[in-house]
Amino acid sequence: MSLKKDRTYWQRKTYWLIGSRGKENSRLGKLTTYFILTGMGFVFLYPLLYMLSVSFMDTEDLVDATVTWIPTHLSVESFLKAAKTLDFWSGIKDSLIMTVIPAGLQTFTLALTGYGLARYRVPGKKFWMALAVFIFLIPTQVTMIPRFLLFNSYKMIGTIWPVYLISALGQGVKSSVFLLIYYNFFNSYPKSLDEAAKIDGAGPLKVFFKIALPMAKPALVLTYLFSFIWIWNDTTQLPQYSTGAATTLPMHLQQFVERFNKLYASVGVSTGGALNESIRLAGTLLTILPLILLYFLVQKQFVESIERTGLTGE
Amino acid sequence: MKKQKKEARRSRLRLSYRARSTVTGTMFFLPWLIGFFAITAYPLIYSLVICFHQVQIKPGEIGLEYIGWEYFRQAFAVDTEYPTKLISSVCNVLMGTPLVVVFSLVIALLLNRKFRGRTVYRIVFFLPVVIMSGPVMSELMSESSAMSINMDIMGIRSILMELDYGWASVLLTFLNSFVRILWFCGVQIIVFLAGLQKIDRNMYEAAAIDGATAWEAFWKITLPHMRPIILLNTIYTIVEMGTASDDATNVKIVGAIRDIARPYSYAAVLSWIYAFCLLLLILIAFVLLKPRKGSE
Repeated sequence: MSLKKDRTYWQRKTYWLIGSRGKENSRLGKLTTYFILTGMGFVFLYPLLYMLSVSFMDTEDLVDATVTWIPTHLSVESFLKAAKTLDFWSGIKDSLIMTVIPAGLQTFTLALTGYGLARYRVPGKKFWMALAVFIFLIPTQVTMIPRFLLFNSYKMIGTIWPVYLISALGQGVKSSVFLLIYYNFFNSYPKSLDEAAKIDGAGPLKVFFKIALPMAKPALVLTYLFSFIWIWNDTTQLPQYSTGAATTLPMHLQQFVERFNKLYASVGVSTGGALNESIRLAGTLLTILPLILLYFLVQKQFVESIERTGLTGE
Repeated sequence: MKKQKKEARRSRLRLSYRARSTVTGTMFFLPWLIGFFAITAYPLIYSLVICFHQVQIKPGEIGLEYIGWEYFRQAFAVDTEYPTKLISSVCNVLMGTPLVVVFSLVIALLLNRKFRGRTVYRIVFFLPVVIMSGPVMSELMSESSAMSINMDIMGIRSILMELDYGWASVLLTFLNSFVRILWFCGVQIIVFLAGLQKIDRNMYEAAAIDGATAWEAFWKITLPHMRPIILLNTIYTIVEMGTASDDATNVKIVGAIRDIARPYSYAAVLSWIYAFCLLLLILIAFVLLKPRKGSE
């Protein structure tokens, strides 16, 4: 069977999900796929679309019952107010300080760990893996308080260092997931590559940096992106240790109502000092805007890396 | 003689190679290990210890006074909020998890097919992963209309509202939190998709030649292959839903940290009880979905 023929055969056969067979049904199958996915996709995107739509409305549109989706005129007033309330620029600066480097540190440390576990004879390998999974199962609230006390005794509370330390030692948000990804990845690529390099006289570090890391690019991209997102969005753990030194954007969002009232208390309700849905949603949108931008920037690598990481092992 | 010597030398060489491998491997592994003992294991044990102690904050130090199981008793017998919140949280996880897993499997199956515009759809479905976070969720939930689509199609909702059976109210809750539940699907879709791509296409071909319909192929080939991944996703979903920061119990726990009469330790007690419930759910999931003996 030629490759081309094979492919058309498979295009027909992969409609097994809804049970349609043969060429005549393929259009129907495709239509069903589009229909279900579009419907589901709408549900997925609904909050985002809603946010976008409402945050561009001004007070008149909000009250007007005839305006549901499309604002009569685009108003950026809500965004300006929300940005002021969120203290957007200082928030984004703090968020970036707390995320960019720690995410990188975490990506690197866990790559080292996964590589060591997968490629070398580490005593108690299975035990450590089981332990990593167990940590993942424990809610973060449990360790939060003692960690707070621990960092307090090192006088690190109120500085940005706890975040850096936690990430550099690979104990960050959901880091066990990444450890498993790396472990699977390094376990699945051919050992002969390492051996060839070793025969040519490369040391273990050189093998790691020159062969293992470049090959692990999809896993690195995936880990970095997820680390970035999860650290950025975290409000229960990491930023609590750094209150005072850095207040991230989501932390600002958490206190949105209080902050708004403090800022606009003197203005008075009639002159635009009232907090409305539009401003709140604009604030929410601003908080996740950097993440959305990042996502669209790397989405190609991201989708590709999912296919190549071997996320799920054998 | 010579052979023995050679063998002995080789074994010694192998041993030293082994030892070297151990040392190098441990070096790679060391940062995580140090981190584990210093910032994960120690706090974990400490939080267990303070469950049974009254924490007294004195200037410069922290005193512990042993009180036994007192706080556990208080959590169930004295606290009026906690038991109800715990039950509602556990029920939420219990009912949400199968939904999330099934939905993400269906979406992954559809996304795995070949059709034009697939990448666009993938971008859409991975988006919740990016946005999902505590404050964003709670903001969206507080604006009730953002997270619940008006699903009054064919009057389903109004009919349900009229019925006052228990199951009707459960269904209604589902309709209301439909979007929230779907938003937990992001990572699971990714994992399922990666798993689906690993199934050998030849198997479907062989099955088709033997006369299996597509429906049969799904049950006999796809599902058994996805079984470990379904287990993985189930566990992940339980943890994800259980640790969501807008979860009622978690809100209660965070609030209890600064309880003046019993700082830290009461919150630790509450979170351990909740963690225990989640672990129990995970255990149930594991028993139900564990790989059958003889397969693979």
